[in-house]
Parts: sequence; structure tokens; C-alpha cells
Amino acid sequence: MTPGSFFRLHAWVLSRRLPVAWSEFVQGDLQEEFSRRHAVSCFRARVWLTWQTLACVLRPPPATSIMEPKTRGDGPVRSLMQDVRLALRLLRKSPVFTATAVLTLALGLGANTSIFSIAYAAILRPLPYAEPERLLIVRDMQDANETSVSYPEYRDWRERSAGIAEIGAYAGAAFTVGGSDPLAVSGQRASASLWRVLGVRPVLGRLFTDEEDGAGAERVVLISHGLWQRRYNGDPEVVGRTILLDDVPYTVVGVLPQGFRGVLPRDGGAAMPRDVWISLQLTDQNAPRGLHFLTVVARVRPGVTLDRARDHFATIAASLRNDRRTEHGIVTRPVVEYVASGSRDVLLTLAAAFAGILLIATANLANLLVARAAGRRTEVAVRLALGATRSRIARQFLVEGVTLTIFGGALGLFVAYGVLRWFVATEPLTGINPDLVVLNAPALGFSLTIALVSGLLVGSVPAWQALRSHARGLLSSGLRSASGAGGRLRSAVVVFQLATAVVLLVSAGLLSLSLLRLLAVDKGFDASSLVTFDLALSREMAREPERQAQTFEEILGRITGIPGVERAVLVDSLPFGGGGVSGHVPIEGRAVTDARRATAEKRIVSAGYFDALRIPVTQGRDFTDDDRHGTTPVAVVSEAFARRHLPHEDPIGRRIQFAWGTEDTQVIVGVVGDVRHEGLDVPPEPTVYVSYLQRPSTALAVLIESTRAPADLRATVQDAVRRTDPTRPVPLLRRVNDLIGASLEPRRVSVIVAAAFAALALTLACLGVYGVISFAAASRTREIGIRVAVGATPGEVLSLVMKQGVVLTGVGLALGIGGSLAAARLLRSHLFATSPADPVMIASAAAILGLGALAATLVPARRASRTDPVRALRDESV
Amino acid sequence: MWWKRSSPAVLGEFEQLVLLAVLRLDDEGYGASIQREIEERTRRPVSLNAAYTTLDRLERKRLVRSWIGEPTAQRGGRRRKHYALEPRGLAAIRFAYQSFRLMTAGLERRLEGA
Repeated sequence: MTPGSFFRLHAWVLSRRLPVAWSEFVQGDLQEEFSRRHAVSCFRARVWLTWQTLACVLRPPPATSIMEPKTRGDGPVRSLMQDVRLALRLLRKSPVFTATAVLTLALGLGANTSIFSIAYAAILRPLPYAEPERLLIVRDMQDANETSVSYPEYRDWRERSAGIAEIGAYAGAAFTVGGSDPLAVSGQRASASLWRVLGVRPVLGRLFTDEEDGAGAERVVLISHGLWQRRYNGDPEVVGRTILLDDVPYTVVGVLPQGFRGVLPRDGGAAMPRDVWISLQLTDQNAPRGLHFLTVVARVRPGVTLDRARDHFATIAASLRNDRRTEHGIVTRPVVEYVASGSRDVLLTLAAAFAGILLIATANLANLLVARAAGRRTEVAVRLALGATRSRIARQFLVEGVTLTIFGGALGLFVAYGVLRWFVATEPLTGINPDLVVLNAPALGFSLTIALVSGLLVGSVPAWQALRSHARGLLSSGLRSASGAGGRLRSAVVVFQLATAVVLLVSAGLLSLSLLRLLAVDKGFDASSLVTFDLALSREMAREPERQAQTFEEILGRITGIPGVERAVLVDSLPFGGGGVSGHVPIEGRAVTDARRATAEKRIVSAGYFDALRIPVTQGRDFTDDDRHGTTPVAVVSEAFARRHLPHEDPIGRRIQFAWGTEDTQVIVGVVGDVRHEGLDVPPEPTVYVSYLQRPSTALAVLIESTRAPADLRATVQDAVRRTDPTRPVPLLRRVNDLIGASLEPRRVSVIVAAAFAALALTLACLGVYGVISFAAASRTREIGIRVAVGATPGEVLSLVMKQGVVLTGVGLALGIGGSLAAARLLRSHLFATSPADPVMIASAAAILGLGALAATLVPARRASRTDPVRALRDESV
Repeated sequence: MWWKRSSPAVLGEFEQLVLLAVLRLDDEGYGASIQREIEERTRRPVSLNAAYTTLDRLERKRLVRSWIGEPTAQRGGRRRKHYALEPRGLAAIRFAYQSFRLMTAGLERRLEGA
């Protein structure tokens, strides 16, 4: 902001607050003084001016000026400022209360603001593209299963949808950037149209042209801003340079903008940002109709509704079926929804928990304010008697509530900032672009709104009470009648708190139970001692299938020779690693009908893989090194495969067809135990394994069983790989267990958050019970004094006070159990082998809370039972 | 005279500071210069708002008088309001000063000491 506009802003504020007759002189003085100070220190001058303005706003000049009887800001604004000042004074008078209240609110409001920011990035605005609501994901529909798209399909769709939408396609890819220091990067193949669909512009150079989509075109590559900075030091001459990707020369044509990490955020978080994009280079030969690997994004043309676009794609599917080009359908989904689907449920759960906490905190504060208000009855009565209107007094309480929450909200922004920093650093949820997780204007607006709303809620309880009060009754009764209407209100608030706490406790319990049960699931394998790294062959080595197998065999041999390495095996896709291939596996002698297609996960492994992962061979045999090119092709299937596709038959000796488009058949030689490949909570799928010696592959993961730590192995493993293939980049060795742990991370986060918040809710609810009971007991001091004086025993007094607490707790628990049955439905999708209405969980949550609440009641009840009647009667009769 | 001369007005602490500033500045006293004078001498922040409120009160008590100057460019075309002491104002600040001096006489070492 320029000094001029900075001053004008302040002058405008001042013109609203100052008496007309002063305005000119004060503003003139301020401008003169501001420019004088600005010449010395720009920053100090601004601080000075802001302070001066605040002083005018917070302490406006008195209305009875000699020059003018009224100021412009007289009336509601002025009296509101008086209320604010009074509220500030009252808060300053009780610093402990204020600090507790502000801190509680800061936690509640901060947590809600941070969850809003994350949800905003994940659900409301997950994509850094213009008009994201016009983007659709277009997917293939195969026997009621959504799948990726094949290249011929993409081409067909593109031809037939031109009038309604522009569509682009991409697929993941991994490369080694060559040079003296080879670097493994992940990237994507992308059509030229994709960049138009997304509306991404390069910061340097150009994007792809449509001609470059074809296979014969010049090989071109776009690089990420990050790679440009890291590897090429931001050299603008990088455009036009030739780089080697898997030993093939590509020309760099452009650099993409900073923050572009992949087409959709779920394609790569901070852990795996994409760094290179090459053109599609696809043909019907290298990407036949059976190969589904593309993701297709469409931008609906202006003036076309999403519904019309969806109908149009359905028509395309119908016409393609008519032309007998395919039997598949097409399904479209808004990209925004598609991207958010992974994190939406977790975020909604968190938002519900956070909102619950805020409600409890608000309720606690409301109760505290009611208690304070009860102590100020005389003040209220005097003001009423002197002619203050009820609405004026009610407004005073509302202003007090809002003042508290504004302070809480301001402090809460720091809490939110901390939570977001943590979130960006650890990325507990995948599929959210961390660059978008910031405290932006909508988040600040949200924070302000919830602060105001909760402030009004907090203040409305004592305000409502003030509206119903009568001056005479108040003056004569003082504190004694405090257990009347206000008492009922406070009781209702505490019942509500208890109910919310039960819901949170039950939810936290269910989530933890579910996690425990999930951790106890039999994965079907044990990889605790294994480390792994990905190994892709260079183009040179990958040229002939014969040579691929040979190279891997050689590397495997060298790694096995390293001291401390007990064995090394290969697999094309690790359990829990994602990226598995699944598809149709025709069984010989079985008619292929849609209803009875045998589908299976397909895995390529080396001999010894099952042993290394402790997967039992239950029938037949494992692969051996003799199952190689030239001998009978063999396969091993999982028990699930045998059960589902070959029930009541002996699978050994049956012939199946593993690969697309080839006539080769494999003989089943063995059956192994089931493995959960996709995740602990996904039941094992039928799986077919073949040997890498018979079904060559250019990229496999190496699994090493060793007594040495990954860091120790790194250098020797690298040496072993490079002696066979010197162009390979440094391998990244990771424990398989860490990969498995990562897949559980979102659940762990939910459990930790839910448990922390349940503990907070429990504490707050017990404090609420304590507050209400001790206040009620205090206001009955006189009554209790009389009872004791006429012979009540301490036990009788104790039970008198306890009774109230027991009733409150009972009602709260009953409502809470009902509430948690309703809330558990929301949790259903997060629960694994756990009933949302688990009776043990609900009973134990109720028991914990009930005990806590009774303990909170016991303290004031014991205090009341020791009442000295003489003192009680003397103090109260004053 | 058989009636007692009316005693000078009793001043609040900030009123004293403002009057002393006006006295120091002679004819150069206006909002910003008075505010700056007090701020620089007493090293405590003073809001213009407070200065004007006090000057307004002093004017109502007829301890100062004011007149309005010409608009200047450095003030964005706004005019200055100048202040000067009325005889009653001078009497009041003299009275305050004398009271203060009489009350502090002999205490200098204790008041100024560390």
C-alpha cells in the first residue's frame, strides 16, 4: 500500500468517527505529522498512524463538544463502542476467566479454521485450474467396473465429442534422466489437448502441438519448474536442449509453472512430484484396445451444461457399441468430486469432531458467563431500575460473548497456522495439493464468521436470561434465586455437553477399535525383514526380451552375493504398492461369457518370492530357475483364484492365458495362499503369478532379505546394479513395512485426532458438570444451612446435591447414546470389522463419562455436606 | 475589594501538560505541534484525539482561545486550528505550577533520586 492510500484509508475511518467540526483539523494534523514521520521511518510512521486512528475509534471524543452537540457516529455505533469498552474492562478484571475462555476458544476456533482450510483445498477448490467445475473425468465402464481408458477408445471419444467438449489424456510414467549423474524421476505422458483442457501455460517455451501426439513425431518433453531449478539451475537456455530419458533423446520445449506437480493432485503429492511430461506417442499397435491405462479429462465447452455433456458421452458409448467397436460404456464424473472422493469422508469426520468440540467449548463458556451474570444480578437490577432497556442489557451480554470469541478467534489463527504447517509437512492425507493448503481470505472469513456466531451463541444464554428478568425481584432476591430459570438453562447446556462428549468418545473408541482390528488382519505375507527398490532397465538392456530376463538374473545374482544378504527376489508390483495390473485371464476349456469372465490380479515374480514373503505354497510347487524362456510356460494361482474360478476342480494342470493379445498359454503348477495386495481393508483378490524368466518385464521391484540396515546396503547394492548396467540411477532403498505403514496413515491420523478430541470433550464436559453443580450448591447455601441446623446429616446433604448431578448425567448420557448411534452411520465407511453400534464400546464410553461426571459432582457435594449452618445463614442474610 | 478574588481553575494532569505545551509554543500551538511537544518532552505516547478533547474542554472553560488558519498543501488543503492561552489559562497554570513547587520543595533529592 502506498503511503498516500494508507493515509486515505485511515482518514476515511477517522471521518466516520470524528465530530464534523474537528475532522478537518485532526486529519490535517495527522497528514502533516504522518508525512514528517514517514520521511524518517516508513514503518514507524504507519504504526503511529494506526495507533492514532485506533485511539480515535476506541475512545471517541465526547458528544458534548462546544463546537457541535452531536458526532456523526452517535447513536447505535457509539453505544456499541461503550458496550465493547465495558466488556473489555470486565474481562480485564477477571484475567483467569478471560485467559481460560480465550484459550479454549482459540483451540476450538483454530481447529475449525484449519480443517476449513484443508477442506477448502481438498473439496471446494482442489485444482489450480480456471473454472474447475467445467472439468470432467471420463472413464471406461466395464461390467459395472470403472477402469482407465485405452488409447483407441480415447481417440474414438475425441472424434465424437469435439462439439461438446475438448478432451485430453495422460498416463503415469517413470524415467531415468541420463547424464553423468542419472536421476530417477516420475512423469506423465500427456496429449497436446490436455494442456488446453487444463488451461496451463508454460513459464518458458511452449506446450505440445497436436502433431506431436503421434508415434513418429519428434520426441519432446516439458519439465517441471522444480526440475528446471534443481537440475538446470533455472537456465532459460534449457528450452531447445536435448536430454536423455531412458537413453532416448528428447528436446525440452517448455517449463511448466511453479506448483504444477501433476495433472490431478492425487497423481503425486510432495512425496512423489512429477517432473517430466512427454507427448503421448501412442498408436493402436503400441497401445491396443485391451490396454487400459489412460486418464481422460474433458473441459465442457462454454454454453454446454454438465448434464448435456454426460448425456452426450452416453450417446457416444451407445454409438460405439452399435458400430461394434467396443462393448464398454462411458461414465463421467466432475473432476472436483473425483479428486475429493479420497479425502472427503475423513475430512467430514474431522469437521464433525471439531464442530462438536467447538460446541462443547461454546456451551462451557455460555455456562461460565451465566454464572458470572448471576453474580451481576444486582448490577443488572440497578441498571433496569434506572431505566436501561432489557434489550440494551441483553446486548451488553452479547457484546461480551463476541468480544471473547473475537480474541479467541485471533489467537486461534495461530493455532490454525500451526496445524496447517504440520499438515503440509507430513501430508497425512493424499490427494491434496499442499500448495493450496493456506490461510487464505475464505479461511479468514470463515474464522471470523464462526467466531461471531459462537460469540453470539455464548452471549445469548445470559442475554436471554436478562431479557426475562424483573428489576424488583432481582434486587430483593440477590443470588438466592439463581437456581431458578438460569439454573434450568445451565442444566440444559450441560446435558448437551455430556451428550456431545458421549458421541465423540464413542466415535474415537470405534475408530481405534477398527484400527486395532485392521492391524491384526492377516495380510497373507510377512515382509518385516525386507527392503526394496525399483529397478528399471535402460533402453539398451531392454531391447530384447531374452536380454531383459538375463540382465535381471545377473543383477539378482550379484545382490545375493553381497555379504549379509540372505536372498533377493523380484516382483513387478509390491503388495500395498499400488499400480498392480488386473485383467481378464481366460481359462482353457471354459466358454467366455461376460458373466463368467475370470478376472485376476497379475503379478510377475521370481523363484523364491513366495518363500521370501512367507506366502505358503498350499498345492503343487513354486517357480524354479528352470522355468525359463523355451520351457513350458507355467503359472501359480492364489487360493482365491482356485476357489472362485475353478471351484470343485483340481487347478493343477489347467491352462490359462495370462497376457493380452498373445496366444501363449500357461500351465498352473501351484497354488499359494491369498495376499491382500490393495490394502489391509480390501479382501484378497484372485491372483495369477508368472515367472519373470518366462514373461519378461523392463521394470521390476527388487526385494532383499538382509540383516543389514537399508543405509548400509545402499552403496553395495548400487555397485551391484551398476556393474551390470552403469546408466542406472542411485536406488532408493525402503523398508517394505514402511510402505505398508504409509497406507494406514490416514486411519492413524483419524484415530489420534478423534482420541485427542474425545479426551478434550470429556474434560470440558466434566468441568461443565462441576461448574453447574458447584454453582447450584453455592446458591443453595442458605437452604442447606437451614437443613443442617434442623438436623440433616452430612450424608443427607451429600445425596441431596449428588442427586442433581446424577439426573443431569443420566439425561446427558441417554441423549448421547442416541446421538452416537446416529453419528456412527457417518463413520461406517471408516470402520473395519467393527459394528457402528458396538454395544461394548457405547457402554464403556458411557461408563467413563458417567464416572467422570460423578467425580465432578462429588467435589461440590462434599463441600456442601461440610456446610457450617451458622456461617451459611450469617453470610446469606446480609 | 471586599470579596475574595475568584480562585484559578483546578487542572487535571493532562490539562496541565496541554496548557504548558501551548505556553511553550507561543503562537505556534496547534493540534499536531502540541501533541508532538508533549510526546517528545514527556516520552509518553499522546493521541491527537486526546489532545483535541482536552483542548476542547479547556476552550469551554475559557482557559485557551482558538483561531483558524489558512489551508496548506502539506495538510492536503486542510486548515489548521491554532490555540493560545487566555489570561485565565495562564493564571491556572501558574497556580498549578506554584502548588507543585511548594509541595515538592525539599523533596527534590528523594523525587529525583534513583
